[in-house]
Amino acid sequence: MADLLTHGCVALLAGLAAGLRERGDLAVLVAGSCVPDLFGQVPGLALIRVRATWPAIPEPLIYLFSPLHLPSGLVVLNYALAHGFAPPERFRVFGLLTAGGFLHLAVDLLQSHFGVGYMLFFPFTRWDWEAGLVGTEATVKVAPVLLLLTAGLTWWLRRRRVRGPGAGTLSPGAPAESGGAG
Amino acid sequence: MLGLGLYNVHVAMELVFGYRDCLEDPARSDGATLIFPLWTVTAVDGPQRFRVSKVLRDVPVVGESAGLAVGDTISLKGHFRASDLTMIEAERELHPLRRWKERLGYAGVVLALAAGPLCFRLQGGYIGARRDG
Repeated sequence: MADLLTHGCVALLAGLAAGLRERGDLAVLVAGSCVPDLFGQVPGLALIRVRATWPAIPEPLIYLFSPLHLPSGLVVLNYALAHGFAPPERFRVFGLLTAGGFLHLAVDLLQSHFGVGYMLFFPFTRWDWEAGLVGTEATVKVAPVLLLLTAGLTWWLRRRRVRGPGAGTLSPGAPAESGGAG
Repeated sequence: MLGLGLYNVHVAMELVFGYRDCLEDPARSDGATLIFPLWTVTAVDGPQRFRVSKVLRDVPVVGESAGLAVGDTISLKGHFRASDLTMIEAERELHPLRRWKERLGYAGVVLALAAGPLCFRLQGGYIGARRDG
């Protein structure tokens, strides 16, 4: 997994590039990009650490959460999470959470783990894959740049919106000066 | 979700071949390929011996230990040697930036916790995404 900061920045930049402008939509997309690690990786890693000093923790518990970092588990989890939102919003929230989650997986798939990839079609097959293009810590060097880029872009878009009415929204046909082009 | 989790437990414990399987039948597993991605060095026993841990604790490895310290993260590829139940290292990748990556993860969590109330609110028992741009 890449780090959460990188995943969040990538999701925010992708959301802005895709034309999302509302804070809520972008927040759900970013939250979706954090879901795979928060639910699928952190519990297992935490259990491994706790188990080092408290071996009574059963080993199967460590593997219980991993499917939430895979496409099938992610879709099911996001469906459940979307039910925390009001019924009219659920479909949109589910879509944004899932888009964020799949963006997360796409970034993770770039990494190399000595050929031990992600089981993309779990539970139907145990076939696994990863592109192996970058090391697992490659994002550490990229994260500060991404953070600056994301912060700068967000600030610039907000400034445009404050300056001109209608700027920063997706109103079709809006003149570029007012921010319609985003 | 529980079904997926339980099936994954079955896959990890029963279907994926690993060091645990080698210990169950060492003679038959002699020479079997082992891959340990992102394990932690838990002991350095000598110039050519160290131990690594993840879910399994203190798996002995025969390989160059110069430059390794307890707590380092390492990925290893090698094969099982039945005579002394060790992994013979063939390939390795060190992960010196692993701690920084963890810190970035924590920073992400802190940022998310700080930004959460700005982006979401509770309304009528449901979470609501703020839609004020």
